[in-house]
Amino acid sequence: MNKKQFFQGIIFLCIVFILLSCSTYIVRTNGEVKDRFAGYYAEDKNSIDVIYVGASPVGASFSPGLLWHETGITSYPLSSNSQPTKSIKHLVKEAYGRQKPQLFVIEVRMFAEDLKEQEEDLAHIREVTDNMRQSPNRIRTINALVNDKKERYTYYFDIIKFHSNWQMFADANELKKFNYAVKNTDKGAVFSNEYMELSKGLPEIDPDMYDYMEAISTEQEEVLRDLLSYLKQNNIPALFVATPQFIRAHYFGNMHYIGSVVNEYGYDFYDMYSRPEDYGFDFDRDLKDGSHTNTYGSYKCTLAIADYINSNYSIDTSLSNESESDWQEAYESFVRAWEDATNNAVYVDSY
Amino acid sequence: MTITSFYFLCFICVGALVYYIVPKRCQWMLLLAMSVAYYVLAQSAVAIVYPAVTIITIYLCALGISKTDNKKKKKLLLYIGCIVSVALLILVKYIPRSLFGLSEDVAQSGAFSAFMIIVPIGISFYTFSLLGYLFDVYYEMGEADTNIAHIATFGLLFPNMTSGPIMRYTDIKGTLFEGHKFSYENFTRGCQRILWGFFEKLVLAERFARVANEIFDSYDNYNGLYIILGMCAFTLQLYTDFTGCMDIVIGIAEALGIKMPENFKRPFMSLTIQEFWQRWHITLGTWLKNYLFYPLLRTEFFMKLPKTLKEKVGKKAAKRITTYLAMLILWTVIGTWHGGAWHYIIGVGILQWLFIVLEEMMEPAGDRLVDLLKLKKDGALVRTLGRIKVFILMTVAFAMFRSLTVMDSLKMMGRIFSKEGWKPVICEGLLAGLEWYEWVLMLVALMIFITVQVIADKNEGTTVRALIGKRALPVRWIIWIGLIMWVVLLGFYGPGFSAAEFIYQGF
Repeated sequence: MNKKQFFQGIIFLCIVFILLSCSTYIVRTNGEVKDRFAGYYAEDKNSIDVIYVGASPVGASFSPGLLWHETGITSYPLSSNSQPTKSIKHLVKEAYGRQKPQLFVIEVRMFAEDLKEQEEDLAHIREVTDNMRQSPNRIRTINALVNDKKERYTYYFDIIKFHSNWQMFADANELKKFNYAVKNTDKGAVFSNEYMELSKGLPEIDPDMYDYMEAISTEQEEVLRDLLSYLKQNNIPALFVATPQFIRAHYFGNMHYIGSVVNEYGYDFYDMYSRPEDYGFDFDRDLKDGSHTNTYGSYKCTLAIADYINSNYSIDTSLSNESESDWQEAYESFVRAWEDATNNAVYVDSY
Repeated sequence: MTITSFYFLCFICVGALVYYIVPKRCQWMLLLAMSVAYYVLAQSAVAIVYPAVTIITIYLCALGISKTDNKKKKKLLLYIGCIVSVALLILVKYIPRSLFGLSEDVAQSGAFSAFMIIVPIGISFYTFSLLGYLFDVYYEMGEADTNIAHIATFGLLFPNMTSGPIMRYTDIKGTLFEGHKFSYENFTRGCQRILWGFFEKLVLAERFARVANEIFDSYDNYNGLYIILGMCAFTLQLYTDFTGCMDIVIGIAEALGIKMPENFKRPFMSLTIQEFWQRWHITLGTWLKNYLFYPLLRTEFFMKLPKTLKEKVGKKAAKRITTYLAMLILWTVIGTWHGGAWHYIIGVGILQWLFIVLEEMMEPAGDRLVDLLKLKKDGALVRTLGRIKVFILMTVAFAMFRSLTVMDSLKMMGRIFSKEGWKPVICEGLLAGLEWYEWVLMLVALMIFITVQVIADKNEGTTVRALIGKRALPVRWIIWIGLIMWVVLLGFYGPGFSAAEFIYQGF
């Protein structure tokens, strides 16, 4: 083999690799999570002040456009549905790949769920791993989340799983994601004009309940402590939050317990779940289902977290004012969603 | 670990890298180590016992034959080698099938599974290859090798354990045991052939399989054109599956500098069934011809038979009858080799014999008809008709091969002429097996496949890869990158697909 052949071979393999990578991004299952992650990678480098990590309530509860309008803080969610708690640490690392966030807002709801179920829930594991760009951190995330070593290759090379979605090549919106970087107008937020009336079903909150604690599973506590240790060791600023949802007694105890563990490591815990009255949360108007807020709820949660951040952290917004028009657009998108929720509210009987 | 699996590809990549790093004199040892590793990884450590017994037996018998001048002793050693190898083949391949049957339920049963654990993959292929070596030593057509590791490498060579080709030791030993310097051309051509094999298997065969399975598994729901479509789909599935496997296997060998015998030579370009079998599974046909058919004709019975018949039917007919009888035995063995069930024995055995005999007997009548119609015997029309005839006859035979029983195949083919008439080709049942766009993709891929076959047929002595290699670099790269993307994106594989194992892997 002469030099020419060697370099031809290398170039050929590089072209194939690039084409396969781009094809992988295109054929990945489309939807709001793909759009959100592709949107994250499209953000200018070091332009995001606050990054949210957590399950689906994150996108529903916090509107980056509104937060920017109210405080000048730029924020973005790295959230996915039923996001496994083990992935949070890796998503924090992923965030550092492009951004230097001044604060992470970590939603804790999934710590109250069964860890084994999360480990077996391959669809939601894939929502995380299959929406990350190819990188060493992605490989580490897969190794941490996928227990079946023999199957990991289908996660490393997710085109093996998604190649049957080749019809995506006919979709201009998906074609644009060939490098997994297409700006997201809503900055990853999820809006809804649906609402439920849930106040009648709420349990009476006994004053003692505010002190009630119910331990989460030992396995989940280990994951939480591992995350907290990692954050602390690396001096990563983080705020842990519990977003509002329909109140259940055991969840109440779980959230307080999580809060106590978080505080143990010197981190703040903002319990929006146990004290919804503090920020005027209305169970007859602000939830689209038992677990997720609608646009009204998003408005209240965003303003509440804005207040909390402004009161407890000093975020320097001067570093991230490069693409104001994007953020203005995100805010306008929120306003349109608000108007839609006001004018075209849809009552949902049950879920 | 099938040869289209991700892990097999990794295995080959790592193996090829080490192969070209180790000293040339050690390359064949690495192949032996890889073959053993493949056996253990693909099946179980226990499975290696069977080929080991066959290899040791054949090695000792061949060595014994070469060291003695005593004809009786030679014959005895030949018999021992044959009996041990064939007995093992029958014991692990045919007895479980005949004891437990072939139905899916039974196959899943504990007893069958327990048996299957120790049935080594490719048992027919290594048994035939090793027996061929023994025969060659016996008939003094080759020398006995004193190094048992050489025989083990030849017998166990991992790429062709899936579906052959059946190799001849005298032909392969040179290329197998000599060191190979890395050759860019060999390596890339090998990779290109592997890629084409993947195209045939994952893009074509797996799609044809969807249609064939749908119709063969529930032929009661179909009639007319549907049945014909299903039968054609299976013929194409079998061909693309088998030739795809061979291209992968021979491509792997080529990438490692080893030249393996070809097993296919565009069989559907044949004008007669006899020619078809000279182009389909060539190495099996050659093996049976060399080690069964010719020795059979040399037996006392077949030597005397023409003389016995001569007086009754004449010299020419006596010779013919003798040959036809030997051929009947040969074809029955071929049918039996495929599994021993009647649908195999008839479909790819007796029926083939019948086709060949009828073809030969009707040849003069055919020639007269061609003359009468004032057609050229080697003209395009006659050749095309010949090819269509071959395709139709082989489709009928393969339908029997694919069916669970002979009766099933007859019932299914009977539905072609059912009173319910011929419905339009595309129906919900078929679409359930394959979406309409999959049909389009399949047909486009088939057109490409046929075009390649035609180009190859018109350029005897070279390969389509070599022809592409003569083109300008951008053209070459567009073709190969396009093919890679086609296989990766449009192949049937990965989670959610159950890419079937190669059909001939079962034999």
